[in-house]
Amino acid sequence: MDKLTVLWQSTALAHFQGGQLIMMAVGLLLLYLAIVKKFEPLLLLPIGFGAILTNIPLAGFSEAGGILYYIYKVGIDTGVFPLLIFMGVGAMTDFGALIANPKMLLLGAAAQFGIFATLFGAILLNLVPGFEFTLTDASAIAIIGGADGPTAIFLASRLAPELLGAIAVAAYSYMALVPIIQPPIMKALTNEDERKIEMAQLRVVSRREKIIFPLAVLLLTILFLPAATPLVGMFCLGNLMKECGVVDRLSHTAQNELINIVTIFLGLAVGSKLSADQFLSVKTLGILALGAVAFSIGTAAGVIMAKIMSRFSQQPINPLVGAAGVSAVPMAARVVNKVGLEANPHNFLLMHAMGPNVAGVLGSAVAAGILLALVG
Amino acid sequence: MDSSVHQLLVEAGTLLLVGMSFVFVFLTILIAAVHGITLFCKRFPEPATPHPSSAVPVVSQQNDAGQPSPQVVAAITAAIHQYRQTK
Repeated sequence: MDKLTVLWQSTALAHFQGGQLIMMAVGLLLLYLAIVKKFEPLLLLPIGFGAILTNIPLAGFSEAGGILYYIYKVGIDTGVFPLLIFMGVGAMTDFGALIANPKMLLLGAAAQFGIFATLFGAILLNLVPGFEFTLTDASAIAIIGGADGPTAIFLASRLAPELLGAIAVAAYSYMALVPIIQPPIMKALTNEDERKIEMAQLRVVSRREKIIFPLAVLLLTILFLPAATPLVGMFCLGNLMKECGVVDRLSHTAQNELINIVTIFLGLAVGSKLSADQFLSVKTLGILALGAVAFSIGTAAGVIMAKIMSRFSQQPINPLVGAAGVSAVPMAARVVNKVGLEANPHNFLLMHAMGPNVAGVLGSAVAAGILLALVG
Repeated sequence: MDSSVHQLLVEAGTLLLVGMSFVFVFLTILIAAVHGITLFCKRFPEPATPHPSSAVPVVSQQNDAGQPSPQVVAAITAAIHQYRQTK
């Protein structure tokens, strides 16, 4: 009988807690969203699986000695994984559309309003009983409005590691929901005629301009915002490797093998943060709600800025491209293109939207640097 | 409690103003920088590099009469034969 009790005690069945079961269900939900709904599957699949692993009783995946514990320590606690991803994203980014029409940087700046407005909203939420966000918590949550996964994870790991799981899940879920969240806001803020505006074709950008651009961005960041240099520096390194044309092997690795390997580990490490005691709290609901607000405000600010610019600019600007100012590359640009085509079947806005889109990546990296410098 | 929230709100408001202005100033400077790069590249255009492929002599696969050489004909015949065999 004794032996039977020992055997029973060594099964998971005897040790399951309600919270762990709920979190495993959340993990399964993420797997479902990744596999069936194809929501950011590259990240949600390892995150969902990591969530299941970390909640297995007795296995101790996320305690000292467990594999997820070490993956998190090595990759996210140090900030290494999101930065490596950012290098890969840099190696995949083409700044041609932005260099051809640099005014679009203003749209990337305007869309960051979502971040800072949400910061305000997160603090306001403290008036509701049950919420106690500090300024650092609020900053980490607000960066969801930047719609940039690696930036959000990097900032959360610096400012509020205990909220990282919820922040990462919210950031990637909303990025997957861009085609659903953005169009109603874009349509509400523009009229039919504005959506029909066709934009002048972009000029061809020389290779030399594309090589100097990342160096110029880096130089400005070094001078004015050293706190953002980890993000911007790795991004510019990746971009320079792509554009210089002499290290194709490195550029290829950064945008394929390396980013794929890091994505697997990043997903697992984020999943390890989805443990019952950290995730099952009213704070998570607040983070999910604030994330959606951040995203919507960012989109709206971008569109409004584009409307203002089109009023003062000699060249026509379709206000829809402002919505691409929240990064979410390239999904946001595709959404702009789709909404534009609905109004005018001959209007292809994709290349025009890529400008604000990559400007949004720079903008959210700069915003993250500001938050790190002022709050961190 | 209320006074601390009030203080946090003031801080968040300041961050909102400072943050947005800095993002705008930074990216505006970047716009100027991009214009500078464009001007620089227009003033000092890339030197026209000679096309490397033109330097490599093209090995002629034809004889003087404009007909394919016997070796080429033999190779093609063998390839067709082999292809039909495997089919």
